[in-house]
Amino acid sequence: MTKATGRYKEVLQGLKDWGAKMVIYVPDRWIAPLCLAAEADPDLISVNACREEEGVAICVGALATGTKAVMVLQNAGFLSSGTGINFARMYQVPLLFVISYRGNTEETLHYHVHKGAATEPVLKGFGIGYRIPDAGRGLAEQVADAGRFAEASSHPFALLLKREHLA
Amino acid sequence: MSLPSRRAYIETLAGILTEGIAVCCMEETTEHWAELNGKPSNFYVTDSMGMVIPAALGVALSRPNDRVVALEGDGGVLMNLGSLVTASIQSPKNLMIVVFNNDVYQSSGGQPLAKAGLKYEEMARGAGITLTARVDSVKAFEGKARAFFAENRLSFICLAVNSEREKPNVPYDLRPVEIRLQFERWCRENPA
Repeated sequence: MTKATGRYKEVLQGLKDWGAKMVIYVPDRWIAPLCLAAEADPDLISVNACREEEGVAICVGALATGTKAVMVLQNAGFLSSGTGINFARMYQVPLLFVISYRGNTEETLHYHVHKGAATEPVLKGFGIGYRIPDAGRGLAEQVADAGRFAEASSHPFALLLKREHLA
Repeated sequence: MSLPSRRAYIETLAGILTEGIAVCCMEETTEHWAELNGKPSNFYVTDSMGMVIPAALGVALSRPNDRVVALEGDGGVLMNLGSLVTASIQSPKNLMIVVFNNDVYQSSGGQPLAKAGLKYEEMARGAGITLTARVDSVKAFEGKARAFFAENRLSFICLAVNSEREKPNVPYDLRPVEIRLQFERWCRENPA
């Protein structure tokens, strides 16, 4: 069991430091605290989408207006969002995916393991750059950098967050 | 009774939506809308079936002072039914969802949908959208569209449309990046 550390607040701060105004999400156990914190933040528009691919399209619409929008989701949802991802790539929008990286080596649930194994190869297949935050720098700073990089490249970018980043 | 063409409905809406944003599904809807009401405030969705309603929701939430109309096909709605629920939860006052219903995948060659005769306006009501209608004439569409705009809340209109293909008079050739840059520029020059 990972101890609650409040680090999800650093993730949210990083998103706001980048300038995010809209957070679209489909929750899972790991990202739920981040989603709830976004919902409670009066400076953000939060949208609880029914399905991840739909959330990606909401982000594309918002980003096309110039509103900085972020998609928060589990890697299972990313893996099932091919049409939305293609939509974002075609229109070259700076969509930041904040993904709970289920199925990596800290995973305790067997059914997440296969999607964990597929996540990085699928990101590479779509040509989407990604990063797992490292311990050497502040988490909020790395999240904000990821948003800025998506913007600089006019292309989706993904942050793969481990449980310790979201507890 | 013969049903109106897609173009006839689009002509009607173009006469009403003189200001505002249209988010259009691909091919004929985009092509006719671009010919009849081609403004930089339009956002055309290339390919990406099922993405029109959520994309329009993202636009509507970002631009609360602009009227936003999502023009989607019935096949696209079926590919993303949950988007009606999400739209209902958010209920942006400035969003109208318009669905062309001809029971075929028009843009991919007219193949029949998995099921014909579905009541899309009832699905919208079931999702929580309270202002809905189904029409089968341009006159009825004009009346409902004007009335729903005046209500200033989330609405949904299902248009019974024929499935004859009709080429636009002006070729359409915008690429996705051009569409996005043109739309983003318009948004920047016309702050929300």
